[in-house]
Amino acid sequence: MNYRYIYIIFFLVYSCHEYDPQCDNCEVAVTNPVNLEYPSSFPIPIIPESNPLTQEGVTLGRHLFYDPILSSDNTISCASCHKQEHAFGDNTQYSFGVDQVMGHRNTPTIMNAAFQPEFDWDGKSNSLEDQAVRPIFNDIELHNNNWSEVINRLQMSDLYPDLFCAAFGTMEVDSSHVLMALAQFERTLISYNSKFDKWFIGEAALSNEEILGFDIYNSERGDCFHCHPIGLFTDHISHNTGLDPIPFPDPGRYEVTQNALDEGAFKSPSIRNIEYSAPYMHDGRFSTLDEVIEHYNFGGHDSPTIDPLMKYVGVGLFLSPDEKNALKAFLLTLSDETFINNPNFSNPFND
Amino acid sequence: MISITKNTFLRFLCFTTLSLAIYSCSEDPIPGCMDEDAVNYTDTATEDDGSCIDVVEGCTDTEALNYDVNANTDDGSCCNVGSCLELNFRHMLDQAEIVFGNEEFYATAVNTYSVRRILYVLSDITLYFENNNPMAIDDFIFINTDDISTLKQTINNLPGLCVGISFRFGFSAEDNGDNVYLDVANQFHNNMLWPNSNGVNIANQGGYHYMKLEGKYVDASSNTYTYNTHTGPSHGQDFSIIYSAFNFSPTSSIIINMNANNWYNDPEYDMTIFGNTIMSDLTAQDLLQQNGLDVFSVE
Repeated sequence: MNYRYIYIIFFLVYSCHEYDPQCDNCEVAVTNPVNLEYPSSFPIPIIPESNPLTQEGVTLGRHLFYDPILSSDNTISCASCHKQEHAFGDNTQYSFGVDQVMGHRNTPTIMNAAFQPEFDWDGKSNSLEDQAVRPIFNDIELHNNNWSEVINRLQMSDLYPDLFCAAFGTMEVDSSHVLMALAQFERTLISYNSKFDKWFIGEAALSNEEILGFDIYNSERGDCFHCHPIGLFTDHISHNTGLDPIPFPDPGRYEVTQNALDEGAFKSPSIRNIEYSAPYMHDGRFSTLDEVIEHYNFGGHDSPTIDPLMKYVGVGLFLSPDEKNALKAFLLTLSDETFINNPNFSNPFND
Repeated sequence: MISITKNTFLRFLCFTTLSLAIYSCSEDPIPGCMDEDAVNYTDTATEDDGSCIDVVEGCTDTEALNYDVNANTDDGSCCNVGSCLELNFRHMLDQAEIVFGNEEFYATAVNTYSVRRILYVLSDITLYFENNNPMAIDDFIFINTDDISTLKQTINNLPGLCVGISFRFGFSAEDNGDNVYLDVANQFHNNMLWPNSNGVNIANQGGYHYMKLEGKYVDASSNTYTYNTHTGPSHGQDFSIIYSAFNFSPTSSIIINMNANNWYNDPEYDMTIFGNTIMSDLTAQDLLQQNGLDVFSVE
């Protein structure tokens, strides 16, 4: 008797990995809550009631963040562009996605995201969950066509059904849990342990040059604080900082609001860890902090939408060389080595 | 007659079984909204079909003064006649309602300028009622002309129609501590924080701005510059302004007008002198405090 066909049938049935609820051996998980630690100068973190932080959810999110399985050809992960050593930004002007297609804005950093109400350079995402879905389907990022293909890859892996089980009580992979886990991990990326932070609470000393730089930064002499206030070092608001005259090469926030007053405006990034996050600006046009300081010293290009907070447009700041050096010295006090070296934030596949 | 061999039968059996197996493995996805925070979340959906509708909070009572046609989730803010007061904020430049933008210039007796935005705080609010005691309101009000949701606000749980209101422009010194309003809505903290220099600069002792009025002005040579009229606790001093009661006929809805030009009229406040960097300038702060006495009116 020829049993070849029977074997083929069993093989095909076995290899059919569509999720079957009857095969879900996941026992209801007991999850362990995560309490974020942050200084009193930070607001209450924004955590949706439907997505509380758990150790298991964060672990799943960390794996997803670092795993190229989320890209259509298994080559690119979130961490390919959001590199821990660069404060979860990228050290190139633009980043490359699947098929080496290049983006058109500099990769934003990810730090203290739990406290931010909007994401992306133009503030188009209102939550981390909302933000996380964009690169998964963006043609110049992870370039997937639909959720089914993403979910199939995760469902068929040896790793993820168990991680989803631990985090969400089911081995079935679904899109909302993918986004929730990524958001949970990103919410843990908190940085507040810089030399400046320690000085502010009396646990470290700044040099005279650094203190001069701080005063330039934190007063109307340099007027950096209005957009990058002490604490999170961002106001989360979009401003046109005079990078370009009209016509603007990138409409920025206008693309989201269609408000003409928003043309050429971009969300203020946090400048914590600025030492690690070069190049700078939404288009990565400046390679060094000196270039950034020189832009503001020049005052910026005037335009109909220039933010009035650019007080020195058309005039210039006239910072002396010593003042520029001092300002830079202060900016370097915002480096948090514990953040870029935190093993809890690193690639779990290297553990 | 068609003869069925054992082999043919086995092939048929395999084909049928395989078809059944494949069919049973490929359960059709159930489309729907899979975002648990969406209004139309469907817990049985297995594939997100992009139909999710974001929650838009607001008053959904069509009878309320502040019924929000865009709201799909009631946030308890409904303002009904006799139990709440609706405050509408209007920003004038003398007789004209301000058109916000850098390029909308207004020529006045002292300055020629545009208004890009105004952000300010009213605190220590007290409401007055017929035959009732005045009611002090705990919360302050933050107005930001860049955020349309702040231009119409309500105070709920009132004993009746209002006949008067008094308030303070800005904060009293005791209410203006550093980082004390970190979690107030509408990005209040990030918008209005007054820098704390940790003892480095006496002008900057923390707390919050009272107002940020910004735009561009034109000087005598027709050159255009930006200006920032920022008031607040410069040098730790209190430059807030107390407005005694504005009285009106019994109502559940009032308009609070700011005539922005009155900040610069009497005494004269010349933007070519005080256009920028006034946060540490006590003379400028003093001038603005004097000018501010007649900035607001209520109707």
